[in-house]
Amino acid sequence: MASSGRLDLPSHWERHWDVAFVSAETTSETDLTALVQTYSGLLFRVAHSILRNRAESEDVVQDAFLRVLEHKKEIPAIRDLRVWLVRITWNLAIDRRRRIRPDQLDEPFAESLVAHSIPADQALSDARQITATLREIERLPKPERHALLLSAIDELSITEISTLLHRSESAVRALLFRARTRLRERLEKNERLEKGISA
Amino acid sequence: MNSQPANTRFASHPDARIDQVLTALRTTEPPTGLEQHIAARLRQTAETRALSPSPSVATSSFFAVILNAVKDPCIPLAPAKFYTAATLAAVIALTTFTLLHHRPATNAAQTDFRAHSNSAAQSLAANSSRTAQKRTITSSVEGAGLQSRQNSFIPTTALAADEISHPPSPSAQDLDQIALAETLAPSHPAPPMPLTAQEKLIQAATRPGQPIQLAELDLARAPILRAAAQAREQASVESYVKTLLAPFAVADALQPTTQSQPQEPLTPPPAEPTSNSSN
Repeated sequence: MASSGRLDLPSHWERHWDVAFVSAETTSETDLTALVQTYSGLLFRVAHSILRNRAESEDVVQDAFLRVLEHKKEIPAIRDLRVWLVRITWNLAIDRRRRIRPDQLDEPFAESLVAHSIPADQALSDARQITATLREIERLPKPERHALLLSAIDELSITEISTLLHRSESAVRALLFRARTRLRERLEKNERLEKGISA
Repeated sequence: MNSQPANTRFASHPDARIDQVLTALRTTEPPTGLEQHIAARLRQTAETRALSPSPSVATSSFFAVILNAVKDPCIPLAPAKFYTAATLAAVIALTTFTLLHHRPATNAAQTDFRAHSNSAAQSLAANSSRTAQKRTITSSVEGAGLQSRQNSFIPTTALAADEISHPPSPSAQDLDQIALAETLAPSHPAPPMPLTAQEKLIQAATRPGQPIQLAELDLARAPILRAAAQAREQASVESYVKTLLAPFAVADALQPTTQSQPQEPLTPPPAEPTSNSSN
C-alpha cells in the first residue's frame, strides 16, 4: 500500500498473462453494462464509507467506470476484477476526500442518521455523538482505519480485504481488533472529559 | 434510499456507537438511477472520444509520447524510441560541451588560487609596490599586443609573469578583484560594547522614572531624595484627607449640634427680697 493511503492502482500491475488464472467470472463480465449492473452498488458503498456523501460517492463511481472504459482492453487479463474495481474506487474516493473538508461530509451524514421522532435536543446530542465517532475513526492510524472501513462493507470478505491492503488475513484481523479497541478507548475518554466538563 | 439505522435512537455505549456507525455505512443503499447515470456518462464519454481522435494516437508531444509509452505498453513504441534516442543524444552532447568548456576554467582557477595562497603574505606585505609592478607588467603586456588586459590587476610577480604567457580565465580575474577589494576595504569601527549590569539597572530604573529607585542608586543623595519623596507623599495624603473631611467641617459650621451650642453660665439665682426691707 502506498504511503499516501492509496491502494496500489496501476492496471497493468494487476495484469496476469497466464490465461489459466483468468477467472470465468472475468471473462463473462467484460461487457461494461454488465459490470455496471453488477458492481455499482458495491462501489457506491465503498466510496460512501470514505466520503459519507451520496452525491460525491456517485461521482466517484462514475469516475471509476470511466477508468474501466479507458482500460477496457485489459479487463480480460485482470485476475480479480472485483478487487480491481474496489481498488480504483477506493483510491478515487481518497483523492476526492482530500479536496473536501471532512466536516462538510460527516455532519450531514450524522444528521441523516438521527431519529426524527425524538426531541430536538436529543437529536442534536445524537448527531454530535455520531460526528465524534466518525471523527475518531478518521483519527485512527491509516491501516486500522482502512481495515475498519472496508470491514463495514458486507460484500467484502476478509480475504478480499487482505488482498486490497496487501496484508495477510491474520494481520487484517489484528488491525480490526486494534482499531476497535483504540476507537473504544478514545470514545470513552472523550465521554469522561465531557462529563467532567459538564460536572 | 438512506441507511436503515437512521431514525433510531443513538446508543450511549462506545461499542454500540461504533457498531451503529459501521452498520449505517454497511447498509447504505445506492441512489435510484445510479446505473442509468453511469451508463449515460459512459455513453457521453464514448461519443466524445469517437468524435475526437484518441489521445494516445494523436499525441505528438515529446514528453507525452514517452510518458504514454511508460504508462501504457500497448502504445506503439516507434515514436517513443525515436524521442528517447533523441533525448539521450541531447543529454550526451550537453554533458560533453559542459565538461570541455568548464574544465580549463576550473584548472586555471585552482592554479591561481594555489599561487595566490602561497604568495598571500608577500602580496599583503608588498601591497604598495604592486601598483608599480602592475604598471611595468602592463606596459610589457601592451607591447605584446594584449590590449584587453590593461586594467586587470596582477597580485604577485610570479603569477603575473606566468599570466603573460597564459592569460587567466575570467574566474581568476574575479579572484584577484575579490582579493584586492578585501585588501583595500575600509576598516569598520568595532561594534559597541554590551551594557554592564549596572548600566542595564540604571537604564531600567530611569525609564519608569521612579525617584526612590533613582535615589537608591546614588548613595550620596539617597537620604535627601528619599526624605523629599516621603515628604511629598505625606503632603499628598494630608491634602487628600483634608479634601475628604472638608464637607463635614462645613456641615458642622452650618448646623451646630446641641453639644456644640454654648451653654449658659451657671449663675446663682437672685436673692429674694426680704420683708424687712420692704417694711
